[in-house]
Amino acid sequence: MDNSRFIKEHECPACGGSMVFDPEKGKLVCEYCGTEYEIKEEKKSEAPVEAPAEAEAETEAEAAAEAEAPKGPEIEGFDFTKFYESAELKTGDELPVYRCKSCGAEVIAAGEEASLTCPYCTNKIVLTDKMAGNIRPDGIIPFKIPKKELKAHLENFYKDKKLLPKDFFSSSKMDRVTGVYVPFWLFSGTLSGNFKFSCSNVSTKEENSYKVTTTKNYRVERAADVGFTDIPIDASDKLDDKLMDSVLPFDKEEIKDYSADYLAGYAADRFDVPGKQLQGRADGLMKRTVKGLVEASLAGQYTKVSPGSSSMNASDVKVRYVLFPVYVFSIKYGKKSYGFAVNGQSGKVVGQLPTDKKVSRMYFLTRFGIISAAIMAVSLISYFLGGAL
Amino acid sequence: MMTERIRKISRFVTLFLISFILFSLSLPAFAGASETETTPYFERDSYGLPIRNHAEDLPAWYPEDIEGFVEYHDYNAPRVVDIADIFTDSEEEAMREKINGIIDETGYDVVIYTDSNTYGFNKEMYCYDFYDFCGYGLGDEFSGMILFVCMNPNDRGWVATATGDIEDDYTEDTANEMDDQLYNFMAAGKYGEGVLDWIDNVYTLYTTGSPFWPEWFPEDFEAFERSHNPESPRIYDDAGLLSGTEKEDLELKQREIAEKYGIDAVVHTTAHSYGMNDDDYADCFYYYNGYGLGENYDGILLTVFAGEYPRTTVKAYGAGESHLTEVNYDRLLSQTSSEIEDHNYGYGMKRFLNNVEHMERTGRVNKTAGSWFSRLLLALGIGAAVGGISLYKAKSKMETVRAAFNADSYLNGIKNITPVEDSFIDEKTTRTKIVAPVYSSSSHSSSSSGRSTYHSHSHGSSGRSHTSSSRRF
Repeated sequence: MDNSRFIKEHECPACGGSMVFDPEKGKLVCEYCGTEYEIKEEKKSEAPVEAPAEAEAETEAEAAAEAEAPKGPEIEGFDFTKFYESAELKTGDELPVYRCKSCGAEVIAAGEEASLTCPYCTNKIVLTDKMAGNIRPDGIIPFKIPKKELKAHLENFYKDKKLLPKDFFSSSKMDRVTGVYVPFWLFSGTLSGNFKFSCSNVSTKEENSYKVTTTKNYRVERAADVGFTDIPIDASDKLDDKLMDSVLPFDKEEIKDYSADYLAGYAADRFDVPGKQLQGRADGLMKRTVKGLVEASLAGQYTKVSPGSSSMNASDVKVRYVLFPVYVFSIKYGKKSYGFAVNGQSGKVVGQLPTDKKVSRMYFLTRFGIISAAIMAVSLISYFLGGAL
Repeated sequence: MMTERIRKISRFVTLFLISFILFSLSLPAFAGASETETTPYFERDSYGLPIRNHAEDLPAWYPEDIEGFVEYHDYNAPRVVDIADIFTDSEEEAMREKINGIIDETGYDVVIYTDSNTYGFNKEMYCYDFYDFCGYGLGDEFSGMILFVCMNPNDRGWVATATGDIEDDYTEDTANEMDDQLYNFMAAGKYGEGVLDWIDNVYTLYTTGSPFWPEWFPEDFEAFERSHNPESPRIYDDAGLLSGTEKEDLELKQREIAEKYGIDAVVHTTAHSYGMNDDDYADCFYYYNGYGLGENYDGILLTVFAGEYPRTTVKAYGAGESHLTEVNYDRLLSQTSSEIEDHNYGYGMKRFLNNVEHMERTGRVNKTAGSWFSRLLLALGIGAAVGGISLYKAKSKMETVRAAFNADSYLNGIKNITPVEDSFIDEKTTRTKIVAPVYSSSSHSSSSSGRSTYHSHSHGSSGRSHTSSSRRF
């Protein structure tokens, strides 16, 4: 099948060269002649996605199966079954083939790849079908940090990492830095819940040479309604969740309407995280926040609070599908590869870092030695001055 | 004629009767108020103690109606009551003789009482009540002392009690001194000898305010004029703690210090403080023995109070005070007393003199090796703590990859937490006894370093105040 119609290549009208999105200028720039072009905002054909209403059973069998299904998750209201139906992941046999418009080579793109570089002619290719219709992103934060500034951010990052091996950044091998638009779900909504506690108030007093301790026990319940806006959950299975959590936050004021032009020159992935996994993560984050708020409200009333059962329900849920800019690369040092990510908007760098045992030891011993020596010196001086120290 | 005769006889008889009555009424004016106060009449037991209405389980002298008891002086009550029968007849006689002499001379009472039964009372209370209810004590304040020796095999010991004008003189130090001396006799079974010695000490207490005085203390201390006395021994080992060699060694060192620095360093050991506190004793010893060099009597004195728990005190005088800063004083005292407490007397005193010499030479007392070692350990400990905390913080900076924990940063301001239920279930109460030292209402009790148990201004059943010390043997 010829999927050429889904290919968008950014060709310079002036010289025919390949155009890429320039974060500094916020425009498409020709890599050869430097001609600049404004980003064209594409008309939105779809409204932002809302969580679907409860799905109606199509057949009696399905209704019975639903009724018999085990109890739903603790948080109700997030059901992306219908949502994902329109974005089925294809198996290897079904991967579409694209023909590069520049060199004619046949290029196979992985199911979620939406932007890639032709391996033959290095032409930048955007696959528009991966980001269209139901699965078109609601927004995108374009790259703000150009690649050439990465070095400065990286140096800033590791300058206070005292336990790093001295030659980590000099003798290690840095893999190719890839700027990639990472898909995120931004959840907004209100979480309502009921929380039960066993609480007590303890008081003591002295009475006729006895210490009298009185403990009053209570059964306590609180209802909570807590609103959240734009909780980001990374929707790509390819990238490590912890790494993506660490690279946050992004300034959501800079979210722009999606345009494929922003993808030029960068990799981009479509979401590929199954719904249940998503629900579990969002569930955990919001629950911990709401639970913490409720317990904090009891701290002033009771001396001891023991949590009991709780149930939560989400409402007014809205979800946005947004692409965030992240540079990813790895550094090989010794026999291990260390993954890094850089927030393409703020320049925040995160990554696994090795700790040098020798450096750690010297770090400890230096401080230990200096402080001990200083205390002994002060004691000696004080002694000779006739002091008490 | 007859009528005239009868009239004369009647007149004579009348005159005689009037004279007799007038003479009887004038007797208190001649004999003094206390002697005209008559002892109430009691039936007495074989020991001479009063017999009165009493509870069955209490002695016959113990009044049944304590509330209604009226204080009285019983001049006829025996001053030595040996129910436990621990004295010989001659000892008892000697005691009575001494006591009568003391009473006549001082006007204060002395009573000796021995028994094997305290009828359920503690020894102190029993002693107070015996003194009060048997009419002992002289003068308006019922002043005097009683020694009660309890020979109950399960609770053998004594209580010495002071009442009235004597209470304030019977300080804790005095009590311990007298009890220390008595203990030596009682522990050896020499009860009579010990009590006779105790009576002598009571006499000295009554007449001088202290039970015994050191030999160097001047008889007429008020007329004493201070002067330098180079003949007074500078190593005065009254308690016999030093060997001959140790004494010579210390004397040599002492002379060296005096010649080089003009400071009279004196070392004194004693087994008694003669009722004085340590500082007062040291001051008196230094003053009355003529120690000190120069017009300001410059010097420094180490006093060692020997005993099961030896004590030390350091005092400086004149120019000796100039180098004795608080720091130097603490080091001098701690280094010396640690050796003295371990009964290393010679070594401790030598260390004292060495430290004085170092202090005069450099202005400071040396810290011990142990002290430096402790300081080193402290420095290493703090260094390790700081190093550890720094390392921990540096490691935390290395951990840049962390999973999100909650959604606190994404709250949008909508937050309603409403109470649904706050139901009271039950209440539990626990009571724990507070263990605290027990004091009687207006008295202070102390057991000083394992010696006598001292009660100041305690009350007997009659309500009268007594100060006592007790000890087991």
